[in-house]
Amino acid sequence: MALLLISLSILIISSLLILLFCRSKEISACVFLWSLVAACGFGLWSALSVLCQKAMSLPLTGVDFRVHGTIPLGEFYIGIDALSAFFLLLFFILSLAAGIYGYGYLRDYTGQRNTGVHFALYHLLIIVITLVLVAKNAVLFLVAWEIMTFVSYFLITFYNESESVRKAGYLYLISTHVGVFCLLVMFLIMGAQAGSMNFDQMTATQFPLALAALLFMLAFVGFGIKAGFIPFHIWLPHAHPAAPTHISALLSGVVVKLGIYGLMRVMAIVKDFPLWCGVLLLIMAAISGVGGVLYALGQHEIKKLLAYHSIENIGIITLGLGIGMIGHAYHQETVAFIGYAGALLHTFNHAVFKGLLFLSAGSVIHCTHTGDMDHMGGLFKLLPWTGHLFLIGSLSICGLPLFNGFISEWLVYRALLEGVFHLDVFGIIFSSLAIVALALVGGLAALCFTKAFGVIFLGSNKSSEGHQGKEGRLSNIDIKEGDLMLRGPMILLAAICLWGGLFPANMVYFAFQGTQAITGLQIPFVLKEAVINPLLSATRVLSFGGVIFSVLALVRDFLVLHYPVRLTETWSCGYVKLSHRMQYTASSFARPILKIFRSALVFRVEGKISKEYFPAWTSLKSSVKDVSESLLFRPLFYVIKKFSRKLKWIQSGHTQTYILYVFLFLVILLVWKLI
Amino acid sequence: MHILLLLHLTILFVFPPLLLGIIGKTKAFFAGRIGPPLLQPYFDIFKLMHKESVYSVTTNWIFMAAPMVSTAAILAAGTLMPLADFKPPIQFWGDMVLFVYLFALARFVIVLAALDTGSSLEGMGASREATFGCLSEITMFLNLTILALLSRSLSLSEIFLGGLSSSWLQVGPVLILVVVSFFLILLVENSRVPIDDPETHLELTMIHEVIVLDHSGIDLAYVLYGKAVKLFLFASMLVSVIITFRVHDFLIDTAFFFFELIVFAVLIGIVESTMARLRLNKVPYLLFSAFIFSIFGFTVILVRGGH
Amino acid sequence: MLKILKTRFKQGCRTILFPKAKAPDLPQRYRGRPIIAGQNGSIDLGKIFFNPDSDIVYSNDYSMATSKREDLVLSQEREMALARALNERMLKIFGRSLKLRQVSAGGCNACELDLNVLNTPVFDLSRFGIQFVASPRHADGIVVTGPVSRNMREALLKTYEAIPEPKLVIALGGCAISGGIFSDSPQASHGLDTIIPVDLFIPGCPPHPLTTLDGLLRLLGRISS
Repeated sequence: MALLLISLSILIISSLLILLFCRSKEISACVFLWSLVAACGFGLWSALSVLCQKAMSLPLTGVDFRVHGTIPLGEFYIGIDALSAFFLLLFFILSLAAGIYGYGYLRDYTGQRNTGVHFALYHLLIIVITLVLVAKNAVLFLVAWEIMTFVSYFLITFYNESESVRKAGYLYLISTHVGVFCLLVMFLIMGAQAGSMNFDQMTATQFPLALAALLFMLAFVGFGIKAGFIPFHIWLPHAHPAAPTHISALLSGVVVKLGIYGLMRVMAIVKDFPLWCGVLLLIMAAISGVGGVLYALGQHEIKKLLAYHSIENIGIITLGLGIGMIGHAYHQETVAFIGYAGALLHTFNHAVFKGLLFLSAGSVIHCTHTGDMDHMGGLFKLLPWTGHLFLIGSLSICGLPLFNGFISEWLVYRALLEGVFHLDVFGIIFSSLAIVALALVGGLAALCFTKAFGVIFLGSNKSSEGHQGKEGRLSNIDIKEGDLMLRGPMILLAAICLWGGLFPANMVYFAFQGTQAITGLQIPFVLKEAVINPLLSATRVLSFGGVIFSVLALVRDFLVLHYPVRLTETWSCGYVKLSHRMQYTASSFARPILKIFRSALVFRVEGKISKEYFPAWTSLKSSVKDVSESLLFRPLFYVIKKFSRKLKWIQSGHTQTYILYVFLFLVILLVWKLI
Repeated sequence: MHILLLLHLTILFVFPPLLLGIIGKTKAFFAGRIGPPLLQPYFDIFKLMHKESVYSVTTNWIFMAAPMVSTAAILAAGTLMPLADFKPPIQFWGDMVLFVYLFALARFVIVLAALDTGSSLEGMGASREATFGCLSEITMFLNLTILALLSRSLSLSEIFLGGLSSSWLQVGPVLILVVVSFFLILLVENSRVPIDDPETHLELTMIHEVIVLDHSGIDLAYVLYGKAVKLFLFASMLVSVIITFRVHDFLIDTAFFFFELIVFAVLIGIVESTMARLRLNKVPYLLFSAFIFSIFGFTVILVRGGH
Repeated sequence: MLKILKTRFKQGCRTILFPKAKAPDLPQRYRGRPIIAGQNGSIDLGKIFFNPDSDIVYSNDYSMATSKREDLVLSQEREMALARALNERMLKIFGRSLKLRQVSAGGCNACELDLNVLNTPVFDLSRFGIQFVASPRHADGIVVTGPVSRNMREALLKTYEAIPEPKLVIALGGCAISGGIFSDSPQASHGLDTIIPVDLFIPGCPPHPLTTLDGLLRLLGRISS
């Protein structure tokens, strides 16, 4: 705890220093960088020290810090349990990486905006997110949550000269506020039931099932909006591309995950939910997972694609949570433990590889000045570092063996399969449908990332010949790899991806610690062994694959000595005038699968296909419309707008009128008091 | 014990191309011709090892490494698969997920290699391969879930070595549905007729052949070999589901297993000789029907209470 | 399926046993290797069109493929030198597996059609491990037909370059060998061997499938003269 307080105070002091020196770009950046490294170092240390404890004492004592009576109804009461520590771990890793990257990214920024303020806000965001994660009092939690929303709004709208960025920022602000309303009601009910706003008392309180269901619905909407469940996800694909790259990474890696953290916290507090809550969560998870990845397939903008993938991964995490809840409702604790652990581990892994992907995508955009994948291509040769790092991120996010994504997806599969074994018919149906959904998500994600990686990095550059982009002609000489400040954080994240895939035992152990905090139960040692040992065997299979690979490579090297390799051009059926623009584009790559799923999404191809023998000019444009945005939220917003116009007269703009309002309100209060 | 493991690996490494030879011979018989020799796939691989590799200037190391990675991944998947009475070298609770994901890894790198060339033909093949691959994966998982439910095990070796022995008597129809569904998946995954024709000679009409259009020499040899091993693994999985009968005599069981595999290869050959290739836009329907078969099987289990 | 099996049972295997057994008798009309009669000098197999109304007398002999261009010129003085087998190293590689890519460089489709006949059950090229493939990267050689028109020249060269070493080149038909009836045209080249080195010349307009098969098998050492 002391370590965390040190970390927080470093952040507070340095953010003030940054604001003080914000006129000098160099000093503020320098203060930012070193204070960030120190604070994250201390933060990681504190998180790890909690996670590494051998025996968990339940309830936690000795790691709390409280200042009584600071806020009405609440108090400044913070403490780290394993669940908080697990999220702190991923949060500090990612904010360290994203912060260093942001430092490198904004160093070359020559615009009007003051980067010092941005850096100070970044520190402030770290502080409030840490508070959200360690708050043990609902009021403190809500206050920190609100501040976090505002701070992240300012960080997202860094490039606020563009209208789309401002719109995305408002959308984010408004939708998360709807969520806060639900959370407020939820915590008020909880507090009323427990007689205190402290999480400790709430945890000790027994909630009746009907009330638990209500609380679940409120939490589901409130945290679901933050987490980006379909159909509450509409802010997500707009905010991610609008924000500067390091903020997108943090948004997707951490801010979105706070929704998951909130759900887990509620589960830790309320514990017993009716069965249908778990089922609902599982269904929504499947919809989010499949929907997210399908929309991602239809995107040609790299950051938007990654944003939709966040929704997909939230779906995978929630599948784990859902099966965990179902298992708990059936009193099959094995299923619950593995499900929760899978969800937690995937949260961590997703933060790491999505952070990596966003940062490398940022490097690509930084170099090419465009986010449109169809204008990229062939960047692997020009940006070897970024290319390799993006490849590692892609392999991880697809859950392929060797990388960390596989471990957490395996855990979720394992939980679902155990569900098939241990539950009754009803449970079997849902867990096997979830298996199908997860398999579909895995396959589609692989499709999507072969598309993304292939179109961006492989083949030859599509923009260098003939295409006149917004920024004018892009020549290959312009494209330069970023320096160590940009590369370093990505290398760190990629290393964690590989480490998590090859040596899974530690992270799985940490996830189990977090699971104990959610369920409040001790996980039997046998179960831990039964989960970790298979993963170690899986590593043996992979090392066998590695041996085969090296044998094959040796044979190949030996043969190449005798039959040397020759370079020539790509075989193109003898076609003479081959152009770079004849390559398969992202749109055409995704077309078959989108056509198959066309009933599930609005897939549109505009323009006309020329039927003449010698077509002179034609244009085709394919796009995927977000159903929940265009069919659900636009009409809803329209109605709200219309309704609120009618109430517009209240806001007259005259100070006198507002004073009148205050006066009237006081009178009403007085009358109410008297009666 | 070690000798048995060694034998398992030897079969895994050496036997697969023979299946392709048997399929070829069967097709030749149906066409009324002599056909290529049984060992033709081995000859082809031997020849390709003695040729140079030609690379496009567009490609990176991914193109070069992909055949090796995919073949290594498929062979690694083979270490989880029991063959006849041979226990696989490695087995663990939940290895079926790894088994499917290793094939996914193999497909991922091959698709990337195709995109690496920058050729539109290979882009097309890559897109199709990835599309059909992800659709067949869900059926694959559902089928494996059914088998896991029937044998109450999450390990391939336990499922296929005795786990299903009583299932044919109890829930035979389910297994029939699973077998049909598996067979369709096998045809898709290994790009056989009616999904894809490994012997067509046009770039435009193919899936798997077009994806490796640019590979040559030893790389192509690895690709062909990896494909053969994949077919072998799928075939032995299917054979293990169909025939759970064992006499518990090591030699007889092994011989019988090989006999089953050969019969199975002949069966694939018959399908290829008697059917025309489907139009490409009909392939999703085939995949969908495989999925429906599997769902039916699953429903039957739930109704019968076979779990 | 039963129908197919019934047919198979009735017809049996239709593949001829050539080269182990004698090739089936060719009809009287077949015009094979010309007979040099009297003193009329020499005949270039690569240039004649095997048409009936020329003053050349044709035999029934289908073996005509050669390894060198000059061997196609028949004369009174010497025996015709038919195609020789590849050297031992090449035979080790290609003896049991030879994949070919066909390039129609301005051909009239006659040669291509008769080449296709080799894939029918009767000739069944695949039993020798010879197969036609889609990509030159997978191929061990090209079979070129047609006079290599100017428009196809670069495509042909690209295909040739795309084939990994070691590789073979086979010129099929009079057009590919000498330009054939287009030999006077500036749009056509005068023989494939002026563009790329050729390993096997198969004359004919078009060559009979047996001629082609005979040439290929001689090249692979399956028929020794």
